[in-house]
Amino acid sequence: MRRLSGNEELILLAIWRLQGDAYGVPIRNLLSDITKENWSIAGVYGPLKRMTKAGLVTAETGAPTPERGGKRKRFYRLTDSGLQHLSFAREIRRRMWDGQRNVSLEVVR
Amino acid sequence: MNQNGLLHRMVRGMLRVSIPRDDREAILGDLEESYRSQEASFGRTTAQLWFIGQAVRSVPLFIFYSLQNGAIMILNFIKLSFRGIVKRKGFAAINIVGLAVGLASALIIFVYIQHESSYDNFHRNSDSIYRVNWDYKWQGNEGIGSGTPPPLANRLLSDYPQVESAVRIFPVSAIVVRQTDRSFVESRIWGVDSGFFEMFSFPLVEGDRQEVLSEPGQVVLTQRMAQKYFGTQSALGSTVVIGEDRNFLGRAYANEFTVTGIISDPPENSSLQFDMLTSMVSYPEVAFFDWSWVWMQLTTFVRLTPDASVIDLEHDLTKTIATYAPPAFDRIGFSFNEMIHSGGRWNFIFQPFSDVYLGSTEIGNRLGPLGNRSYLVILGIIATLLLAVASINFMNLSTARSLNSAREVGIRKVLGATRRGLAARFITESLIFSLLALILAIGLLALALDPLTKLSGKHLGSMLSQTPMFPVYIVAAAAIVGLVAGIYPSVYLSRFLPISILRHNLSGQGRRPAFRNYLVVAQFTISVSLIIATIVASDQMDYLDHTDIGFDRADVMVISNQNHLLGDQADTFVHTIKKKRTY
Repeated sequence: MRRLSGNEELILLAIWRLQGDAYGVPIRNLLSDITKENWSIAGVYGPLKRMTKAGLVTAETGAPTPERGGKRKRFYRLTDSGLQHLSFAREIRRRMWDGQRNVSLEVVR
Repeated sequence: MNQNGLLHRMVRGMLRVSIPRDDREAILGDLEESYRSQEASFGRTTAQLWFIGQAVRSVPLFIFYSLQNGAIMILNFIKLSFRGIVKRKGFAAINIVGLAVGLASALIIFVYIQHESSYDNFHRNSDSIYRVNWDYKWQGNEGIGSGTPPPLANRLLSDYPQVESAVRIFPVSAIVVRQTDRSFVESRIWGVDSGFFEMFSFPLVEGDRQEVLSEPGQVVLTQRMAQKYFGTQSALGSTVVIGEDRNFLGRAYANEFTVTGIISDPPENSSLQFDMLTSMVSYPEVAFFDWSWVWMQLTTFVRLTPDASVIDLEHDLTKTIATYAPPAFDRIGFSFNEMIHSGGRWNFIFQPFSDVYLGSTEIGNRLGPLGNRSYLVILGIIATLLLAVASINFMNLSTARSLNSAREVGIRKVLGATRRGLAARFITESLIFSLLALILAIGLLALALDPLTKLSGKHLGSMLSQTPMFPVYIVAAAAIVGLVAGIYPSVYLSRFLPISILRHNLSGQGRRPAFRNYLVVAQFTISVSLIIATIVASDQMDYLDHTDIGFDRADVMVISNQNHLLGDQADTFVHTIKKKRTY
């Protein structure tokens, strides 16, 4: 179990949220909307490829559509391993945030 | 999209090339879809800008990812290569050592050629300096010599604007130099014009360039000489006695010289080698022979303007000679015009200074050592042959080695290896071998430098540190050999069908290895020829060393009485030595 990088975590979360409708375009759009940043293709596909190799996500090829100039879509899904990594990442953040309700400069125990 | 825009096509091309093959369809499809939605919402221009922006941001990253993957793969190949070496140590050793020896030999020759080619290159003005040579045919003798007469330099300076400066050098024959109680015979003392320091880049350690040799009775010592005569004391201002006080046809030569400067020792790669420089005006014979165009005891160097035409200069010079030489000839009882009419020649020609060391085999050099360009050419050819033989051998052995891994190739192919992947596998292995050979070769070179220095009398390695390109050339050479050697087996092997490999049935290539046979024959021819040549040369040297020359050379020392320096003391000297016989 390794700790995900920030981008990897966001990408996995996006895939999880999109629940079966997760291919390149919506993943990128979701990420861009939420982070208010313009994600580049490489910035998404790079980590995605690595995570596929590591077995955190799987890919399925879909049907070609005319808007894509006849190219097929590739849908991504979380694997069990991917889900575990995601939970682990969440757990780490929870522990770090130490169950704070209000975000302030002082830590209230 | 504006499918036909040039920019658009360029960008798409870039994307296509940099995106890994498997992702290509998915990513390009995503791009198109996003583009269309952009176009729909924000219009075509925005969409196009967006597209270009995306591409520009992504291409470098994709390239980086591919490189990363490539690096991982190559690391794996490197590991396999080392494993292969360990598994077959003997074979690997032969392969590597063979190439190493070839590389080392070529390197050694290269170092020598480099050294020889670097002579006189340290002078600031070396491109515009020329040595004036004497082209003659007179009284049955014909040739080109390096001696010139005293008046030539000034004539050139005054009559020819393209001559910027002229310096004469007068080598003084062996002469006794005394300083208090130390006396030695020195044969590398020169009389030079004061422009010497401006023309040549021999740095003056002490003393002022303009003043140092402007008057008679001044001498500049090299650091070596200063050490020899004065030890650790400062030599500047002291007096040194050179030769005897004498008269030459009414003009006086005073033998007391004041040290007005110290100059650094001339470097090894200089065709001008001297120990002491004295002022030209100290020598009465030079001044006396200023009328003579026949007294060729000086060497003249000139500096020409950048646009000067040497051919025109030489041509014009013949007129000057025809004007001033005849009186000189008459004075010694010869007729210049008669000489010319009977087919004689008396011209002065210009030789580029950078050409002097290697190109003066027929001409000579009174001021220092000479090399020989033909030797360098021959050595260069030998080096190339050696490299060729070593490389061919390496290639053959590599091919043989890769046949041993035919099974690996078969399995890789079954598992889906591409031809490129296979090529990468074998080229990497080949490069590793040649790299190891290179390291070994450099080690051999370092070992050989000492004996070589003794053999050639020159310090061969010193130029290496000054040539920044040296390591680059070597590594490039080794890389090329490794690459070519790796290509052949990988191409050869990747042709096989996996099934025929796994069944130990390597048929499927009916081609006779004809090309390989030619290579082997060539190798043997070259090797045997070189060996024969070496044995002959070696025998010849042996003969020179050991043949009977009429007396026993062992334990014999020769004491020179050049120029009768011992004078009337010669007999006394012999008598004293004989008295001290202990045998």
